[in-house]
Parts: sequence; structure tokens; C-alpha cells
Amino acid sequence: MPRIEARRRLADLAGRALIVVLAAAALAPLFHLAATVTVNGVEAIVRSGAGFFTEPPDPTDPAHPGGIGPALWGTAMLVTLSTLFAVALAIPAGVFIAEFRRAGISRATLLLTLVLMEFPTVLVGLTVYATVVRAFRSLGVNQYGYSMLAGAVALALVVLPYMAVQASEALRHVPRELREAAFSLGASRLKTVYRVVLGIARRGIVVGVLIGVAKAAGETAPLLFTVGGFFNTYPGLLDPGGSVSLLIYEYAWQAQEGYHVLAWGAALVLMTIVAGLMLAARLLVREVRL
Amino acid sequence: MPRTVLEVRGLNIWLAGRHVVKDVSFSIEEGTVFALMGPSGSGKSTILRAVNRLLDLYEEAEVKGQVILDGVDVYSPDVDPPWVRRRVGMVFQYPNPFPHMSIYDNVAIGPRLNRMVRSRKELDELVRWALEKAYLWDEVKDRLHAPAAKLSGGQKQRLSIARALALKPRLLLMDEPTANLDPVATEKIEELIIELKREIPILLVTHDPQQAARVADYTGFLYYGELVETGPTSKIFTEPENPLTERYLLRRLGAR
Repeated sequence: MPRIEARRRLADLAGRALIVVLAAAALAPLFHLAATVTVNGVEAIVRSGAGFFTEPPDPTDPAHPGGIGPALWGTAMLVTLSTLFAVALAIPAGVFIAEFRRAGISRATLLLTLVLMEFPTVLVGLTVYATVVRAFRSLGVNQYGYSMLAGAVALALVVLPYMAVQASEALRHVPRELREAAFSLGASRLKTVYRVVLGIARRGIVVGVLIGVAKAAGETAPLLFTVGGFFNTYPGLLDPGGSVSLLIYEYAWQAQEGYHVLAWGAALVLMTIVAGLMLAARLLVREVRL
Repeated sequence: MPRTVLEVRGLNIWLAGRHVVKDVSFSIEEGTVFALMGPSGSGKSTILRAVNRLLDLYEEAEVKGQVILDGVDVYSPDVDPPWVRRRVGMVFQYPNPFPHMSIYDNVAIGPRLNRMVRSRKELDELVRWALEKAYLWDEVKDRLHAPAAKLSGGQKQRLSIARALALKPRLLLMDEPTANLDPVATEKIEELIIELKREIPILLVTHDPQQAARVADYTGFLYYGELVETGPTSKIFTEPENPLTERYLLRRLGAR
């Protein structure tokens, strides 16, 4: 009997150890990534000081490589615009999917949304290139046809399905009795949605929007063929420009050290933005449960 | 002779093909409470939702028969369901004020949705009237703009009643309004029912025969979709005609 007992304990211990090791192995790359980006990023930003966030890049001087000001501005612009476009379409789409389930067009909307969600983002970029960018070029909006507006359209198409599905889920979780209460007051279906159900689901919808914003800030592929990749001047709406994510992609494979320094700094900035947005979304979700 | 406000005639309801309400007929007069009592799943709430046409929202529901409110059959083709719902107030089993709105807005939403008032002053007066009617005014008058979610369970249920009253309904439906409340809150709601019936007749659904005995003038016993017996509450409880009613009441009352 005692020998069996000892064997059980040993097996239990070995099992636990295995789980801990596997969990650590799964998380190790994440820690490595975060640590590497932080160490190299801080070093890069220290070289340029506060100017890192405002100055244009100067990769010829690795000791003082300038900053990512225009790219940061580009990211802010792209994220704001694409969020506006996407929210304007995603909330009505979410309402449609969740509240008008009997209509065939509602099911079609859901299906299209799911297809769009799985659509490769690089193809979204190409689609916008083939439409908006080429049209802008032939209309002579600018020399290249690339513009921040085109980038925002591509990003909006990428994040729209996430926001729409999240909105429809949030709406669907509104208890039936609250819906019935609205109807029992003589509200029509549409008024029930706009005056009551959307208000109750608003936190869940905001969470979906925040996740979409974080995604828009991090996406690179939709911008490859749409914004042009210019990082030296602050772009206007119809000018070509860049983003933090695109700057990392372009600079990381250049030969000179100055580019690498800038890319590391930009990586830390991007990681902070995305992590901050995700944290805000998590906190909101927790508040919803209360 | 008192006026009849609601008359249900030969009501049959199918949910997803299941015949859950079978040929039910009863009527409610001005100034009275009519209690529908019966075990869970007997179809009480379904009948309630047929009266204000909430069943229209359930995809699989089919209704046959007549529900006549103030002389109008609410199922006749030229009647618009929201029109019916504006005239029939409803209070639910789970106290359900809108959690994202203030106390004031919860009461004001009905009149606002239906454009019943022309000025802020008129709305203020209507909200105060409804809250007073629901015995809630004194408890909330200093915090009308506080979130409704912060009220206690009993207060929430009285707020739901005030929300329904603000539309000045012709009939009030109450779906087991005290099922989720403690005895003190329950007593308050029952007092309120007796007070309110003078102005608004009430159709009360309950699984508690004692509640029917306490507040209802007329009682109907519903058993698996069939209205076994209806009559004045005192008669149902003292000399029921149907042995099923007697068995139901004995079992329940015997448990005390």
C-alpha cells in the first residue's frame, strides 16, 4: 500500500511539473518578444529624446536618428478615420444581424461579414489599390495616387467585420425581458433597438470598437499598396504617407543601423498603443460583468 | 352593472406546434383584480402575452380566438400591435427597469416614445403622478436622476409598475410580480394592487393561490392550458366546483 501511495505522489508531481514547464514554454516567446522590444526600444528612444515622437527620421546618424513623428501622426489619422468609417457601418450591420433575424437580408449580412473577416488583409489592400488608388492617380489627386484616405478605407474594411460581429453579440446578450419591457410600452422594433437595446449593450459595443481600433493600429498589409510609405513629412488626408506599423516593416530590413534603431523605437511605441487599447477593452469587459 | 374592460373568448395558443392554451374564456370588469393561478408551465404567462400581443415577437407562436379590449378585438387585422401595448401596461416576473437609465427616464420613456406630452413640465408631472401611484415617490424624489440599477428589488418592481402606469393604461398585466421579492416587498406590491385596481383593472398571474386569495376579486384556475374553473375568489376557495381545483388548493393550502 505505501508503495502505491508513493508512486501516485511521484506521478502527480511529475504531471504538475510538466504542466508548469509547458506553460512556461508557451509564454516564453511572448516574454522574450516584449522584453526585446522594450530594451531595444527604450535605447532607441533615449538616443533621440522627446524628439522621437515629433521629428522626422534621420537614419544617416545612428547616434541621433531623429524620430517617427510623421508616421505616428499617420497612425493616429488612419486609426481615427478608419474607426469612424467602420463604426458607421458596423453598428447598423450588427443591429441588422442581431435584431432582424427573420429577414433573409440579415442572414446574408452575417454571412458576408464572416467572409470579410476571413478575407486576407493583403487582398483588401490590393482591392483598394485597384479602386481608390488608381482612381486618385487618374484624377490627378496627387502624383502617385496613394493617400491616407485610401489607407483608412482599407483598414476600415479589415476591422469592420470584427466590430459588427461584436456589436451583434452584445445586442444578443441583452435579456429578453428588457426587450419585452420596451415592446410592452408600445415601442416599435426600431425604437426598441435605438432607445433601449443599444443603450444597454453599449459597453459591449465599445469593447468591440476598441479591439477594432487596436487591430487598425497594428495592421500593416492593408497599407502596403494604399498609403505609399512616406515617413519624412506630415501627411494630409489626400497625401501619401505612412504609419508606425508600415515604418517598422520598411525600416527593419534596411542595411544601415539608423533604420534599425528607428524600427525598434517604433516597435515599442506600437506595442504600447496596442497593449493599452487591449487593456482598456479588458477593463471594460470586467465592468460589464459586475 | 360594471363595465367589462377585457373579454377573452375561445383563446387557443400554439407554441412551436404545441397546444399550450386550450379554448380559454374569461372577462375582467372595471375596478377588479382577476387572478390566473396554476402550476408552472400551465400557460399563464402565455395568455398574458397574448393579451398585449407580445406573442407576436415569438416566431413560433400561433394565436386563435378573440381578445376584446374596450370593445376592440386586438387580433383584428386593422389593429396595430403597438397600439394595443400602449393601452395595456405590463409588469414582469423579474423586476426589469432599464439598467442604463435614471429613475426618472425609466418612467418618462413610455410617454416619450409615444409623444404623449408636449412640455417638460407636463412630463415632470406625469412622472411624479406615476411614481406616487406606485408608492415610490417618497423614496426616490431626492434622487430622480440616479441610476435605476441602484434600487432594491422591491423598489425596482415598483419602478416597473410606475413605468407601466405612466402610459395611463386601460388594463394592467402582472406576470408573477412578486416571484423574485422578499415577503416585505411582496406585501407592499399586494397593497399596491388593491389600491390600483380602483382606477385600472388588473390581470394578475400567480403560482401562489394564497396571493390570489389575498388580492383578487375573481380567480381562474389554469391547469395544463385549460381554464378549469373561474369565479369570485371567495367561491373558488371555499366551494370549488371542480375536483381538480379542490385538489390543487388542498395540496397548496395543506402545506402550511
